[in-house]
Amino acid sequence: MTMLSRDPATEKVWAESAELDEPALEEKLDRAIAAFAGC
Amino acid sequence: MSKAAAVLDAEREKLAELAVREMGKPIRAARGEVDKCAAACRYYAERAKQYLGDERIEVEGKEAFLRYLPIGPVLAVMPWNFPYWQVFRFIAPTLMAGNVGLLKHASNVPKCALAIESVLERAGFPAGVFQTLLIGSERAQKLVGDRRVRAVSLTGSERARPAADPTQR
Repeated sequence: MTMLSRDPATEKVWAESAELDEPALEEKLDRAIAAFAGC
Repeated sequence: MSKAAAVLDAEREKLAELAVREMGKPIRAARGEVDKCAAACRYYAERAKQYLGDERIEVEGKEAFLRYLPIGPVLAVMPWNFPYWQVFRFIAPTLMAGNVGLLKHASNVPKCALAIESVLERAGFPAGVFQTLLIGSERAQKLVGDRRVRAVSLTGSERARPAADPTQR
């Protein structure tokens, strides 16, 4: 993945977060649905 | 949403400096961008009821009205050039209309994306109402077809288009 950031710390954040796995993404999507149901 | 504006006001300098460091925006422009976001939050907080209230309509002698209903999770695919504004001009009306937001921000502004999530959390929005997804474009494309994602808002170049266009996959 191409990084354009000027902030070295950004690259670290992205590198750590880019590994968001499928279960974690699924959890976020389910959380969005639950939040919508609760609105 | 008014509280989100207050958080933006209180953390103006910190947020502006983050944008400067992360994507190189001049500090004066970054401060102005944060101010504009706060103004947008207040604008929609004050006018949502007016914009979204029931509208009476004429239907051949019967009483009828038009009602706006939320649709659910809306995915935003946003560019880096206005890392706060591009998101707030989307999320303020989207949340005020009763939807929830998912953000796939440009890959070079992840800390701005996380800062926006933090602002909204601290403004009191319930967990899950707005979430930043630090994922790449390819995974964002897959989300467009997910049954839980009800709409997509995209701002970007031709390169970003496939992220929101199932026919481009």
